[in-house]
Amino acid sequence: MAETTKRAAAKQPANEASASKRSVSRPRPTSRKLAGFQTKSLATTEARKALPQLVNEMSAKNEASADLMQDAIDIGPHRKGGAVLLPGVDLAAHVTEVAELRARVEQLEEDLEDAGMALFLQERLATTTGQWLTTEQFLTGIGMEGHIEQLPEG
Amino acid sequence: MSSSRKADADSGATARTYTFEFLPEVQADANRLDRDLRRAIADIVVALHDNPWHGELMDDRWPHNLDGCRKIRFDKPGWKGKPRYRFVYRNEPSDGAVGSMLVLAIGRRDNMIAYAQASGRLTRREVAKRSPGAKTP
Repeated sequence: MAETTKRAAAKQPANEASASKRSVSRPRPTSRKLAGFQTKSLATTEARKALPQLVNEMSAKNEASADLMQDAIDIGPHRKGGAVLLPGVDLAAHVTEVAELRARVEQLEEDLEDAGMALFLQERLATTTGQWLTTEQFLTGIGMEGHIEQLPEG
Repeated sequence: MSSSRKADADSGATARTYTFEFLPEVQADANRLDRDLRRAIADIVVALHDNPWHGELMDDRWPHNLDGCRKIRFDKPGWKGKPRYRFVYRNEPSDGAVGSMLVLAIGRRDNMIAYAQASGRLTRREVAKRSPGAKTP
């Protein structure tokens, strides 16, 4: 009798709201290392069965974890991974963090570039002969004398 | 026409007058680059005769010798990435009407970053030598 009820429940359309109410025994995920992170791991069939419940749990999360992979579930044949299911809130936070870090690195590189130029000029100005070239001398010296006639008349 | 003479750029309302000077080392910097890049440099020089504020002002941090220095990013025509080269010059005085424009360096951006990193490493090594107990990163 219990078996019949179970089968009947399985035939019902997968409704996310009702899925959380049903007492579907979710397979216990094993643990697997993915890119250095310990993640929960499910086989493809297990994940397919548990998907509504997993999605409900992930949708209910409204605060991002410190680690992107903290609540990730690694899915693949024989629990060997291949695809990863992530809470949207974690992914959104991660994307924002990556963009912020990229901007920060760019700013730091910009600062480093200016610092490098300052040090380079310090050395150059200390050792230069003190002679200066005119625009014509410079352009001729780099093989661009054709540009001299483009200079504004004055 | 000589550019040690004053270069006039007629801006309409007021005529700007300033001199152009290049460190000889800048010519050597440019001659290390290929023809396309040298042409880009010549285009910058022509543009600067019209507008001495063409470059973006650099951040004057220690050792504080970048006051009034500006840089122009450039690369070969058709280069898809971020410009890899810098043309560095200084307007004197740095504010108000420009009296002279001094071209100081042309170089690759990554070389400047490497220069700063190398300089940082040397400084840390010097500090470590002077105080052997101190930790260096």
